[in-house]
Amino acid sequence: MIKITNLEKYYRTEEVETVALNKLSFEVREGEFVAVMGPSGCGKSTLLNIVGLLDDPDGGSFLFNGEEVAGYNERQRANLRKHNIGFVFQSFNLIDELTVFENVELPLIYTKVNAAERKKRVEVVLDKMQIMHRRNHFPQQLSGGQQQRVAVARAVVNNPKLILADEPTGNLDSSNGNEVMQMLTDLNEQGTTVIMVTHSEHDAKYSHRIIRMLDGQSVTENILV
Amino acid sequence: MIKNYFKIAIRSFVKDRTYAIINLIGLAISLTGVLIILAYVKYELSFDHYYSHSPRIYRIAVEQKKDSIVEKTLTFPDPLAYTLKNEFPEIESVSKLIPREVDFVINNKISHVDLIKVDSNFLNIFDLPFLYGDRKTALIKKGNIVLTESTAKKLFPKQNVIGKELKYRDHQGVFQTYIVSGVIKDIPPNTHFHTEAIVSESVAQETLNWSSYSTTGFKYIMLKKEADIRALQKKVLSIYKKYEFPKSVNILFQPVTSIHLHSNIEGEYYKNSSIKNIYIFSFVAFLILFIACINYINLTIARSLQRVKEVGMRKVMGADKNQLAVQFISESIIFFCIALPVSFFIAYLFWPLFTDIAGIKADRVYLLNYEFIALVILLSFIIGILSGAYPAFFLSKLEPSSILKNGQKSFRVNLNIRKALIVFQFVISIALIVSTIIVHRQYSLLTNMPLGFSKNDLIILPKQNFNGKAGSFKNELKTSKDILDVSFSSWKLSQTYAGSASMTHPSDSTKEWDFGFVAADLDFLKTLQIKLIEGNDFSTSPISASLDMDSLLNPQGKRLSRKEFIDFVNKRPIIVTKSTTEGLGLKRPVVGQVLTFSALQGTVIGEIADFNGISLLEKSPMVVIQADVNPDFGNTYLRINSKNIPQTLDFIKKKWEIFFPESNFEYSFMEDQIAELYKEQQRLATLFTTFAILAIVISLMGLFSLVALIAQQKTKEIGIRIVLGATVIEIISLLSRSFIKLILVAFIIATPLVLWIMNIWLQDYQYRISISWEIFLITGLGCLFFALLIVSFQAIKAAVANPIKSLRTE
Repeated sequence: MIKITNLEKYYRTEEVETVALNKLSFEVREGEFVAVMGPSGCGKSTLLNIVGLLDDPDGGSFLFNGEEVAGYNERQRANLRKHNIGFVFQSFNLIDELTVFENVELPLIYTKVNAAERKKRVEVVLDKMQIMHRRNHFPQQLSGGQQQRVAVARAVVNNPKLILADEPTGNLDSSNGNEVMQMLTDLNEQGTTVIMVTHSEHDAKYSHRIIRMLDGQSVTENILV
Repeated sequence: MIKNYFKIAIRSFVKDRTYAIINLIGLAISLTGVLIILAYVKYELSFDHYYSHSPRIYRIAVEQKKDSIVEKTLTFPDPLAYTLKNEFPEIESVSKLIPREVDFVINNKISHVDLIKVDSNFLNIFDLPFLYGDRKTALIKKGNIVLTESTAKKLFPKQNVIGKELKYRDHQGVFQTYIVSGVIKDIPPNTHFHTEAIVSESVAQETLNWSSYSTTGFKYIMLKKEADIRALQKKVLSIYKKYEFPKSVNILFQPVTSIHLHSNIEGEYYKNSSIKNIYIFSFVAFLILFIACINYINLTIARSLQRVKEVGMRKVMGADKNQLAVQFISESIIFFCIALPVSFFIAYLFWPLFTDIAGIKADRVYLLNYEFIALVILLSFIIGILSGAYPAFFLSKLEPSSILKNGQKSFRVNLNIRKALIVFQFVISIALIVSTIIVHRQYSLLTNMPLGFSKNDLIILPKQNFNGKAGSFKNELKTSKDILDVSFSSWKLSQTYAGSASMTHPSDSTKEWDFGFVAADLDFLKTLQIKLIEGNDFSTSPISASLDMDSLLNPQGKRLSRKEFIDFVNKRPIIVTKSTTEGLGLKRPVVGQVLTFSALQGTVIGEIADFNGISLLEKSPMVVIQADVNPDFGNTYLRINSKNIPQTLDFIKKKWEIFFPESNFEYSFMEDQIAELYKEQQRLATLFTTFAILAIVISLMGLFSLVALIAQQKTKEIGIRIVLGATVIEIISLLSRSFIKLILVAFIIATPLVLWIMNIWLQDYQYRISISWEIFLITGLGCLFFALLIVSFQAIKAAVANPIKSLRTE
């Protein structure tokens, strides 16, 4: 599904050039659950942004479903992203002014799903995430675990082929964390590819494979399953 | 999608309610100002569109070249209009209008009515709607009168007025009668003439003769439907030769709809407005709107710092730039749409107050009609889009990956643009304030300039035919101890002197001497408290005893010979002003000199410092006071004691009614008459003040919320500084430093701009103030003071907050 070859990304300020990704290559097949690990600053988040089509690489090749997307412009990336990729963040990133229902509904609005269909699909996914009873609450009124469940619901409502999770349990206690990890595992079992960045060895154990990174390069790949 | 935008817009307003409300109030106030100004402009532009033939109606005027100056005048031979009609078939109709005042006697009571005398064509051109009677026949018969609705009610309450008789005395004192033949709707205030009644007068068929002619009132033509005025304007040249037009004369056709704003000829029906005011106020409206838009843009950008996460998330979800731009622009439109009804409501409430200040008689129709509302809504949309465009552009450009990684820290507002906007806002405010002060000072100069006489406690009774009772009337008045002096004079404070003459400078043919004559009795100088600088007053001059004009002009019923007449006028005592002496280049001493110019003859018996008896807006001629011992006709001037004024007025009224029972008693104070002359300037000053205050209030409101937001964003910085030992003063200076710089920059930009514009404005005045530096100083310091006040308020609030709290929330 994803094939990355010699991917490069630099961050430049006036004086320094920082290499975030240094000729990184790896592949993720459809239906895999991959964890990316490594110390702070090793380029995990940069990688996730590029894979999530939020950022473009400075060099190398990035095949998404066999299609070269490295040179895509913003509009093309946005289009591909909104139909194929769901995101889960450490800090949830729910919009404070929208209710639970409206937050989950948002991706469907941007993919131009009609209102009746939206309602149906949001309700199904809220039900699945067991957060239906909170549908009219605002994010601030929920616990961290509940907020992350909403975020997961939002990530999957569009039935994406790929879910990118950036330390999804980082702001949660262990029981809520486990719950979220279980959700991701379930989604993966239903066929969704999951790539997860994490610091936690415990969480990484839920995945099939761990890619370990250091200084913008992948150093080892542990096959867990 | 739109529903979603709307929801999020409303919720984010509610979340930031303080700023939203300040923003909204500022916007509503400025929109109110704009609405009122727009309605005012619409009213001013609506003049004389009332008649169905308006586009075809023109008033005739004449252009005359005098010493390379082109002067417009409404004075030309009466037959000109009718001659044009006979010569040019494209003129469908022609009519005249002569304003008159009549005192009708109904049941022994006098009712004063302003009427116009017209010919029978008048109602075909100006199709004023009839309530009773027939337009076609109402004015055909001589002696018919058409009343307006309210005049009919005033003269004959609750009666059918058609066929009723109205009696009045003509100038020979003989009773004449009009018969009411029709009632028209009241003439709306937005017409260039105004009247309570219309009577018809036949037209004497005379041939056009420019060498000697009589002239009365105004003349109008109505073109045929297909005719073109420009073609006619060219064609009229062809008759100049035939009728021996003077060389310098040219006929003008003034569209009736443009008289109110574009015509300011001597002898207008009443003083018209000026298109300049329309430009000024439209510009002010634009500025006010601009200030409000700047507030909106600045606050939106500042607030958007809190919405970075939302923008980022929307992008992650797949929103593209355009969708985000549409979202923020629609938010801005929503905001304007909320402000709009509020401002309509405020404008509706304040409209009567405004019309009162502006001195116009426009009702709320100008504010509340579909066309106007539609225009304003459209305007709000456009402005909503323009104001929303910058923040939208700005926010939609944000990179989602960096927002999500770094949160708000990644978000760097381009402060230069915001600074430029604030500078611009203060440039406008400073410019408006300085202009307002200048307009006020100019007005105060006009009303307080020494006129050469004392204007306090001076009562004027209007022009009256004394019927030989002038002397006894005066003696009777002087029996009151509160009436100090009484004098009769031809002069009345106005735009021009009643008597005037001009002649070419005897040794320089490019220059002209203009004289203004004041005919007055012997007590004039004493009553008006005019100071003599040389010579004698009429009453103390040795030759005054032999000054009875009538007896001299017509001694024992015998006509004077030409030589005797010239001798007489050369002997006639005159008092000149110092500027007359200087203007004529007379040698000193002037007293005793006999002047024998073609336009001025007489023997100078005294010289006074100055006398300004006309509006200071006009160029003052050289003033000469002529003695008129036993006037038949004139205004009465009374110098009274400032105490017991009501009793004194009562006394004068009683005496008036004994002496002149046929005339209504009217009086005015000189101070009021002077104020009346500069009503337009006063109006301008008041309007300017109103809108300048509006502008500065909106600017300061914007500054207030902007500083509040900045303080909020700097909470952490302020907290750290306080923890490290900064004082409140240091925090104030931290927050205010940049704003003070901006105001200084605004001041530097505004100063030359205002100097330039206001110097142009002052050029219109014969007597004008010089713009002094302290006006700028006061304004600059004032702005600085208020800005500092606002910044300090927020700074103190931030500084006294517990730093532990602000540091923990991060």
